[in-house]
Amino acid sequence: MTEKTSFVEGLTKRHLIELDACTRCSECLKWCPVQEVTGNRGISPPEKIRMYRDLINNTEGLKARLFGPRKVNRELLEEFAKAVFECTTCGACGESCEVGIFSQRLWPFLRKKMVDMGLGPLGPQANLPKVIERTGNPYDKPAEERYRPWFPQEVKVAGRAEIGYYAGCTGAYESQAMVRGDVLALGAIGEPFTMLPPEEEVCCGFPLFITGQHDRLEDLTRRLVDAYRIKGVKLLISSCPCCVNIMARDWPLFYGQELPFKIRHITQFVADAIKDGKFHFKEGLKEKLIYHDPCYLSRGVGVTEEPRSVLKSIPGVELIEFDRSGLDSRCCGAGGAARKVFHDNAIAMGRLTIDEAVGKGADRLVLSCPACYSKVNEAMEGYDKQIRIVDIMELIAELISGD
Amino acid sequence: MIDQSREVFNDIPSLVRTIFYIAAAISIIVFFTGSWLRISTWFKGGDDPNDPVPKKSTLGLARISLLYIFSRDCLFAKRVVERSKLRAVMLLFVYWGFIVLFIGTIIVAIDYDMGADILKGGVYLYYSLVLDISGGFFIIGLLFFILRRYIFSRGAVVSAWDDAAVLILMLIIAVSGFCIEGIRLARFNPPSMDWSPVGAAFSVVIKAWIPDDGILLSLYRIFWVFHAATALFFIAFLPFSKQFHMFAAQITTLEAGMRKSKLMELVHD
Repeated sequence: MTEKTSFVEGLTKRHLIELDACTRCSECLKWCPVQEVTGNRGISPPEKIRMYRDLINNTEGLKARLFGPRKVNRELLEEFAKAVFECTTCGACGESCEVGIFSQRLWPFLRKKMVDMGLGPLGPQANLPKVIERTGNPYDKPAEERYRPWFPQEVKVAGRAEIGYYAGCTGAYESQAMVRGDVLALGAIGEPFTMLPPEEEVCCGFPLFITGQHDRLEDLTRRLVDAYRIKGVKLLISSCPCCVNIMARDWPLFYGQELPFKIRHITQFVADAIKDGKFHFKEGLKEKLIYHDPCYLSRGVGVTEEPRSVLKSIPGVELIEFDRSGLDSRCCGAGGAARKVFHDNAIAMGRLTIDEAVGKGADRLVLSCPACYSKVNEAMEGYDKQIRIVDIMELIAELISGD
Repeated sequence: MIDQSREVFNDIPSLVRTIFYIAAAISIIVFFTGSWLRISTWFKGGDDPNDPVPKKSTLGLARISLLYIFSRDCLFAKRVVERSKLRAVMLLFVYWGFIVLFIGTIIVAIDYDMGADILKGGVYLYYSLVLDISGGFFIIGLLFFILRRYIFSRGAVVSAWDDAAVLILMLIIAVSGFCIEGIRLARFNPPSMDWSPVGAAFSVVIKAWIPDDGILLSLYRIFWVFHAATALFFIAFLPFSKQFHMFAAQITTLEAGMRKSKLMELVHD
């Protein structure tokens, strides 16, 4: 770390304006899940912004411009790095921000700055680039196991088709009931769809992006986009909100041009199919369901209505809401690749979601994200409150196949 | 109609006036230098095609940050209204109070320094009423935010030293302004008193406590210098404090509104 270290380089104009815009009104504290479970104001969004502004002043402030850059306060820098990596990047602070700071985008770029300075990533996050390079996924699992354990053999995959399906690593290796449901639903809708061979369906890049390790992102994006392009894909579907997010928002930047296909979350595709009469539920479900909005699906790409419309179309279902829902939803603790480093925080957040779902008398807690699915299930282990957890696509599969 | 006009430097010695103009010039230079430092730092950032903030030159961004103060989202504190109506009303007291008092100061400069001679008769009375009431609301808003941040927050509000500095500075400027007005009204009891209800309330208290005109004149001069000094210091301090959010937040607030539709385009077009 030298005195010439730039805290501005690599950020966008908007990031820099946002750092100046924070009024420290502290509305975000009420919505931040990390604040909710730790109460540590030192790592709160306004404090992180204040700390980073202080770092910027080292090189851009009046004294620095007149007398040269000041020596960086190493302690402040380390404190900031820990705070920004402890965040789940759920973006609730940004949604509640009274001056509209888009924090779900700001934090990942500030993480990247910390990585560039050798202060991140933390713990197992540091292995991600090597593991992804070796196996194509962040879980260090062999490619041949990507589809085999869960893929329903009765569903046919086309060699080429306008619809492409991307299972995603977390779904394929950790939330297999969800991706099985995806494929069963696609099969039931009946439109031909294609998939990449398991060794070609590599990581979308989100774990690298969110941990500030951007080096391999262009390569991963290019491999995936070109592979789907060759298969004639015009619409790429995934059930993982993080994958959908990076595909829709960042792939065009890494690819260097507009993508040759559109991106949709699977619930959007199913909701459209129901509306168009291509898909309907034969069986009903006499249950009270509560739906949890994943951060990167709701605040990330604005998909809040479609999952609800799918659930409401199941005969007999009573859909209830969390106090914080839609764009204001509470993070379940799985976000931002913080769950494996700040495990206790993540479990505590997951349990807040469970508490509310149980308190509202729901029969089942419905999720639509593989990371949420994995983390909330983990949070329930050994917990005195219990509720049945189901992914929305797993539920659909139950109703299709009678499982 | 009452025949009154705006008094600017009455009872202020000419040396003090000269010092005031020099200090004002320095304060404005410092303000623009500091603002330029911050805005030029924004311009060191790259472009993200997904950002609704358009690619702009440094001057372009500076212009946007000033113009957006008057955007609908900012003028009516749209995002604050969504979270807390009370806080929104109080913010609007401060926001509008600040804007009206600032415009009022510009009008004085046009009237006095540029010799426009517009603040007289009916125009002056309405001017006086609007500024007086705005100042009152400004103080109410500031007191609310001071109490919220430091008395009733129970740890729920994160603060740094400049939060207190800007709030207290603005309160001192507003209250000392009313003290000057109150002393003037207490000394001369002008017929336009009813057009300055808050100033008149100050004058009643001042008159009850200090009936001696000589002391009032001295106090008037002290408060005048104090008011001018704190106001000029605030102007110079603004770009070096968190209060610079009053320019940056215009852009982020407006951009947040545009972002909603941009967000939907990503997977809904």
